[in-house]
Amino acid sequence: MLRIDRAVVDQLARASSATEITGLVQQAVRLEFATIPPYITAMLSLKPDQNRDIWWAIHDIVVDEMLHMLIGCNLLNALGARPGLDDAHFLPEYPGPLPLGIGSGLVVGLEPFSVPLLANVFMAIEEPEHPLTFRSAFAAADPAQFATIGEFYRTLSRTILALPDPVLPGDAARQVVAPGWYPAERLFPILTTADAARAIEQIVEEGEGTSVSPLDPDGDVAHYYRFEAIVKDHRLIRDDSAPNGFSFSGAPYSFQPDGVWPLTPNQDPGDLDAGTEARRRLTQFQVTFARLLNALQRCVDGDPGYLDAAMGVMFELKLAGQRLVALPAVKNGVPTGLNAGPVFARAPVNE
Amino acid sequence: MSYLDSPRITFGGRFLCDVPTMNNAAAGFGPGGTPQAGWNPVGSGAFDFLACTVTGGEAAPGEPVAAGDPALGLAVVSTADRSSAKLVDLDPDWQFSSEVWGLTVRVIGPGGETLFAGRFRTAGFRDLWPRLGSTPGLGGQGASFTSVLEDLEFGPGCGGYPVLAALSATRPARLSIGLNVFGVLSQSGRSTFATGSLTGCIGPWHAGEPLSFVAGRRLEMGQLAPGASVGPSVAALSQDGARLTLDLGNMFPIADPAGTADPRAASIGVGVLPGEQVRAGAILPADAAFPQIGTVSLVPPPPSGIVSVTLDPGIAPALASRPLALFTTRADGRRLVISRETADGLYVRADDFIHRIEAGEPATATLHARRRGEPADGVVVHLAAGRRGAPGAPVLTPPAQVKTGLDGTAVVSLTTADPRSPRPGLDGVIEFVGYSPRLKADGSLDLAGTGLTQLDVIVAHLRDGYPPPSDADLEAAVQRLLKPYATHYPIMTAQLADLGDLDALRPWRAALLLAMSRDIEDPNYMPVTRDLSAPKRATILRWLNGLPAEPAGMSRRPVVPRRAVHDLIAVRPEPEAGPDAKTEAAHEVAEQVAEELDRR
Repeated sequence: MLRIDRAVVDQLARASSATEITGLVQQAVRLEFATIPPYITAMLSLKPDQNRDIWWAIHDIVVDEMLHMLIGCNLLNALGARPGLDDAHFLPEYPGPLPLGIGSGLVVGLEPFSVPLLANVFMAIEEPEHPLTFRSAFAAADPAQFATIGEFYRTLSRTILALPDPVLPGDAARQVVAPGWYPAERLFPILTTADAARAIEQIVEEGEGTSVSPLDPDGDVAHYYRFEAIVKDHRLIRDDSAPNGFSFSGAPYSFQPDGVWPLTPNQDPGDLDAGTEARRRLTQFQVTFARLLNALQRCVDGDPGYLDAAMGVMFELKLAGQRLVALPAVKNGVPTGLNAGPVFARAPVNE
Repeated sequence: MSYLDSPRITFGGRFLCDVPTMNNAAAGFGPGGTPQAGWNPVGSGAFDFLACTVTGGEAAPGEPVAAGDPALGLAVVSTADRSSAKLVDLDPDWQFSSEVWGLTVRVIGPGGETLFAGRFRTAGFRDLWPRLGSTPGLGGQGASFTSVLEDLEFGPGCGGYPVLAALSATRPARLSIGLNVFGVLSQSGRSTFATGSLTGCIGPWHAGEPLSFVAGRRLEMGQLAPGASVGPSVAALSQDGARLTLDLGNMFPIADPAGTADPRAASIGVGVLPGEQVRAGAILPADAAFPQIGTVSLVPPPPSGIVSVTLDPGIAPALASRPLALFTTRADGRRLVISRETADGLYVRADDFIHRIEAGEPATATLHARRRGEPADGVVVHLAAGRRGAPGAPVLTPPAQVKTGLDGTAVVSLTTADPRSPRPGLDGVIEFVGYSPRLKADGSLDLAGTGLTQLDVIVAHLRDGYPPPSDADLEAAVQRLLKPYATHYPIMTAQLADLGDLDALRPWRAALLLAMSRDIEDPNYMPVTRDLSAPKRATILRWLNGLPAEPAGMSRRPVVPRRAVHDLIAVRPEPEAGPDAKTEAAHEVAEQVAEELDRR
């Protein structure tokens, strides 16, 4: 479970002005973004012609996390603060704790797809306060020691709703909407405290589901349970015979272990020989990643239409990653037996 | 005025040349065609600067960017926030003027801050020739791009670099840029795979100048020794007549793909020939009246091959009336003319020379004529059309001739007709218009002494007419249009979905709509090959627009049963086998130049 310092939530609960919460919203944006590199790494490790259903399942969650990050940026802009994707500390280090996470909690790395990775890391990232169980049991967490991300967001929502002015101070022209990519009911302008609360609720429910259902209000299975379904190898479907009305008895994912590139976990660029194609393609990946961040920054800095260009870079990043992970890693002239892995750190100069 | 003037910066390094190779052979298209993988079957088309840095330049006439100048070593990079630029052939039947699309050029400071940026106006390379002797494959060939940078931005930090400050001082609307490329390597597994060497120069551009070449004094291809060609070059006199600057960046033969000058070209003399009658290949006696301008050492080559020499005032009359030449000096003092200026100093060239023309649409191209570097009016330029790779008479029709006006330019109006599918499997046809200020006795174009080769033409991809399909036939029509891309540009299938499978494409509606409705200048434009005619593109957009938008945008779709996609990423490259079209064309040009020199 992603453990958040309870003091952070308490700080949120005490806040009474927009300026008091923007720093923590920026951390939430960092958190939403920080989930994307591990998910993309797992996606990239799935070979192009195998494990496609699993690839799609993770892909759709990545798309949601991108949306959640944009929602967070809309919220920051609504509060009159600039989203800082270009902040020197925006990118987390992998392996390491996620933003807002406390040190003794979850450690997230960049690893190839495996069932244990989903069970131990990805599900933990998305884990609700009180996971619903469907013919399986997860140990309940002790909420007294720490807070969950859901609790963080719900507190944020309550604090914003309690702000004295229901109209938020930000420039409406900086709000990102992109009907071609995200429908208006999922990505909408945040102009009022009520808009903010609605957007925050969406983030929580798409990740965790609701307290009584694994589905979010749109009827889609929440991230946590989608990962769990892959772990259990069967999709979660309605099942009137099951205690909670759902069971993991849908179509199988049929994971093929040989359909995964053995990419290097938490790749260090220095571990790829300079003269190899893999090293050059890693730089290409990092340069493309930097361009993606810059494009997204431009998008949330008052040029919302630039999301189209950012999406173009996103596709290019995927392509660069696909080319990279198919190449063997060679260190000191000796193949390591693994393939090259992606690095989600900026490289300003291609070489 | 061009990048040969002051102020200017030179730069160099490598470049990414991730061109796809499965669409290289026209014979691989159509019924029964079997495409060959080539050396980079899953190339994306991306072009980028790799480890390019500022290597020199001039902040003011005669004031070189010398050791200690803060600009030296600054990184020259491409876009900060868009997709990579693309390097694209016009067509499998015309691979001799590949264009760079959607390139942004930036010079950045040590902290990554943009000091200067501009958008590279789409341009195709010219002056393709075999720089590395008989070495087969792309690695042996060299070529040059000339264009302009537009939408210029100068960052606040550029004031700390005198040469950049000088470039920005006039608040120019455009700057001139030249790029030389050579030594593309195709051995997979190495860091140099799908990369090549690059040098470049950025300088002023003035209104009225051509956009795709330097309208200076053109020196023709020649020979250093049998089997060792010398490439073309251009020279420009400074406005005050005090200095001559030459671009030798694509002139000298090289000894390796990294660009080391052929030792026989270690020292090159620059001079003014005794008269028009002296041909390239002539050996002049040691005591010949031969005003010399200077000697250039090419070991190591000057930055980007740009050389600027101060002129002796006494040389001006000779320079104004006689041909410039490059020569090597033999041990006995005799001098071999390895390259000389065009006949009578007349240089005619088409500016906008690459066209994509919809069926029956007209087009225009502008010719510029210069005599000893000055606009030449009243020059009659003869034109003749031809077709490549398909039977039949050309349907691209130029006037028989045009005459330049006072500014030295002439506009060529081209009419076309629907080519009516002369190539099975490929849209339309490649046609071209050759041009020359002179005709042979038989009435054909005479390129001798013009500085032009058979590749210097106005070339056009003439698209077939395409009536819109009925609603009932729309899906089948779209499938017929897209399927060849799945075969010949497989990275699109690997990147998105199988282009031959409409069911696989439906979930990507938003991405396809984005890519297929971009401006052609946009680096995200699809298809990357930029060979789809407007009515065919409209048909695909019509289908995409008619698809229901995903209710939840691009995610949360039900998993569509998908056809197994071939593991495209694992398509193994094949080593370069036999000469590619560019290599063949480059050697053909060199052979024709050699034959012409022999004939004289």
